[in-house]
Amino acid sequence: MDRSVVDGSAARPTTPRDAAVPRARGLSNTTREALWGYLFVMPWIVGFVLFSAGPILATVYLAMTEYNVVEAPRWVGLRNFDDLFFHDPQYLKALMVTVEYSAVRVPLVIVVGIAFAMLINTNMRGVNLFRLALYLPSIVPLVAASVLWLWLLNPQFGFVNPWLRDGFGVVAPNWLRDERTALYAIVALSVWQVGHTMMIFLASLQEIPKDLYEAAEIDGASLWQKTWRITIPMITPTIYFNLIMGIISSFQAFAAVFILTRGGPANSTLVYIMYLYRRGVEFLEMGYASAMALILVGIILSLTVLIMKTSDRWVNYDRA
Amino acid sequence: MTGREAGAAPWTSERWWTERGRWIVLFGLSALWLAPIALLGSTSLKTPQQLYDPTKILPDPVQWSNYRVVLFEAFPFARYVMNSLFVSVLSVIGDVLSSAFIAYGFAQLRFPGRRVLFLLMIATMMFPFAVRMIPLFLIFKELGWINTYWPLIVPSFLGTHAFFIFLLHQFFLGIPKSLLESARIDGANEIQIWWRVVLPLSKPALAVVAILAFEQSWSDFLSPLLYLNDRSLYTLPLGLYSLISGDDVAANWHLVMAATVTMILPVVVIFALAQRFFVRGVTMTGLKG
Repeated sequence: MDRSVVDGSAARPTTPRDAAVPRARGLSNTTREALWGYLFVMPWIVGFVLFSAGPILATVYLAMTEYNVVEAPRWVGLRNFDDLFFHDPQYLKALMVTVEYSAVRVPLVIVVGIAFAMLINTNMRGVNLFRLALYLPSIVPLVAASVLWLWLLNPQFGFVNPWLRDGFGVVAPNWLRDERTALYAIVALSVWQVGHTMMIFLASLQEIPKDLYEAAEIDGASLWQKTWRITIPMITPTIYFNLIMGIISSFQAFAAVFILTRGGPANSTLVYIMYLYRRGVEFLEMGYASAMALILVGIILSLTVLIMKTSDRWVNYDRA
Repeated sequence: MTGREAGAAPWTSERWWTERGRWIVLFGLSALWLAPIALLGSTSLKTPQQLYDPTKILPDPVQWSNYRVVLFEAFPFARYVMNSLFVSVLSVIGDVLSSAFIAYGFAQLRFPGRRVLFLLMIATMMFPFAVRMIPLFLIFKELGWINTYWPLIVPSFLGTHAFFIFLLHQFFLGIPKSLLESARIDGANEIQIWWRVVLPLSKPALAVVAILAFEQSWSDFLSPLLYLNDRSLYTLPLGLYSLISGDDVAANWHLVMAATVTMILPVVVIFALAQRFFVRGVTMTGLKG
């Protein structure tokens, strides 16, 4: 071993591995490195073909068919898309509900996340306990949190309505069974689980150089001015990131809706995946559901691209 | 929860009042945010009669037997806990090993097509699960894997969670080349280098991925809903769902809440043991977008 290392490094100091692995002397270093490289990424390639690329291509095909699992898929061309856009009011309802859900949820979670992060960004005594209290709900698994919500908002056995009635004399609606409130009751669950977003923004706030604030204070800037002129501009990259991730996840909301309302009442919470699940899994219209899935990809990709395109107008990349 | 402290400015009376106001607001918010968890705990210890009096917060008498009933008697939640643990532990092992293995290839080895494959991997993160859901179901049905745990475990071993690969890739880029070179000179092959040099150096990043993978697997609802039919195979999210989709849920809220606590508790225990990795996970995943 020692000898070969000496030999190798003496002869060609830049490529000592030739000598270190005598077995593979026939191959050049680059080839050997490449072979190792392929070996390492091989599990991903297999997984990609079986579980990503293959299924995605299959979805593209199934979207052009009628398929109920029992009989073979029957080619129908673009009819599923025609049905979706022009003959299925429920689909358009699902689109509207998803847009409303995202348009309320994403900005709200970001605003509350930033506000909470600013509140806990202090060295005050006991602040760690407050951080813990506000963060803890976000590690509750979504299914468990949804079941907890189901109980809390139950008009008879839950806590919220009896408490409002006994304590304040307020007759509250049946949150999850009232089509005016159901969607917002689900959004409220996301706000309760804001802790994760809050911690991201806290980390982002702590990256802002202190001297910016010191300079502003010397100039007599108010808290309001410091917030809008320094804090918010400095965390725009984090806002940008959370905006994209928030939209992607909002358009895929499912578990909370499935547990809390199953899309009802009167389809007022029929989010996209809920409707896709209903048609694809419950009604076994796999072709129709595949067409819905393809459109969803289109929506998510175009929204992401749209935000990316506008980002240079409002995201501040000067820091780093 | 740690964090860099804000700079210490001199204490003025104005600052004292701002801090006092901040304290009051935070106290109120914390109480409000913890209230659902406290109510969850208290309801899980109530008797059925006490359910009709939801604003009476403290359970009296305290009925610990609710947990026994949920875990072993009326409902097999002990079974669901074991099922969930089995699936989650295996899929965490799969995620950590496969993501680290693949990330090493992308980060430290040069081969033709590397950039294209890496971009493809990043692109898979943009695709919603729904677009793969139906064919995946058909593939697993073809393989005879419906009503088994294979669909919940095998994909983890093949690096299907691109995000974890991406995280570890970023981490591995920071490992000095010279370290790997000297291991090569000592005659180690790439697998040995990965196992003996790279992995031990990356324990914090691996811990973050393990925690994220556990959270994901433990809470996963849609996949088990699609693939598992037998009650005896249910994981906790499905078990909990089956509990509330029954007709007699009204009389059983105390048991439902006990089951919910059972599902949350392991996550809280892991959080208590590995708090710093949770926080690191937040910053690793949230900032470097």
